[in-house]
Amino acid sequence: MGNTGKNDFDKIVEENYPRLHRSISAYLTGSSVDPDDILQETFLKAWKNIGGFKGGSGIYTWLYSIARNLCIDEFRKRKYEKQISSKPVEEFELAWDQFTGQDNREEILLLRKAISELPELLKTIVILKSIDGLTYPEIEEITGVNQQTLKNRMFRARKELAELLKNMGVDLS
Amino acid sequence: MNRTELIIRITDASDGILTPDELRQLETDLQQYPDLMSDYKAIMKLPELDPVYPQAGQAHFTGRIAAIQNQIAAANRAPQGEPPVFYELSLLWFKKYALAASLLIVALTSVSTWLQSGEEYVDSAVMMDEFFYLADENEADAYVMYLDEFYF
Repeated sequence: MGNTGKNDFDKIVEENYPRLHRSISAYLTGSSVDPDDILQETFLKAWKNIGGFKGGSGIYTWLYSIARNLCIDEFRKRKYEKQISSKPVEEFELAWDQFTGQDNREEILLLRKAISELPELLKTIVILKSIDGLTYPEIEEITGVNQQTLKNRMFRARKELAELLKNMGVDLS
Repeated sequence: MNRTELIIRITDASDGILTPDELRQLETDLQQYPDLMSDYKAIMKLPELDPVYPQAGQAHFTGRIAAIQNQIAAANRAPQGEPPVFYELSLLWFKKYALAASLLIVALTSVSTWLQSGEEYVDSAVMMDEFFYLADENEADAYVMYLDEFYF
């Protein structure tokens, strides 16, 4: 990847932007950080450092790592931001949402709020596995955490998610 | 199976990769751990999370992608900064090469001394003594005379 040209990189942007946008939107839901700003910075940073991309990992997981680090930096800058748990569910609506009905809307917004309330490490794994559809080896590339620990954290994440939803009054039966 | 192994199996079950037989075996094993059984039941009731975040339409990204591509093109066209002024260059070179230059000087001096000393045997202590305390012919005579007078 050391001699990736401008045209090749334009293609990388076109191919990866929509998927990355969805994943980072999920990661940032409930915060005031704009996923588009993060992605813009992600691709510029990736372009500057493309020479350092070894090609051993997938380009998507490499881009995701950059984006996630930028999000964490942004969270650190805004550490006094309002707690997610105190935000109304309406704030978890996305600009491109198309709900099929009011029940469907409420359940989806509550699920988003519950995911947002998970600790960062657990939230990342849930998003990458259950929303982005990555495999555990791919998640290991991004997080640097071994697969057994990832599965253990996935269990904790799902357990916490079930508890959060129960506390929000969502009927899981 | 111990607790850790069961937790991994519960994750596999919720990921949907266990066969019906494996699921039945897991549920049997969980009988010994009521707390894990309760977690397992709650986890298996969780809804699919994939539809929670729909994929935005391609039109939503066209402008953003073009903006990023333009920014990269602009960054490529931009001059790579002003050339460094003399003092910046000197400092840079000094930092970069000062150690190497010092080592080179020490090495050259050592080699040249070694080559010179190789020609004939030189007592360096005597050589340094002669260098600092130049021999005075008159004083040497007086000294010899004095000794002569004293002993003989």
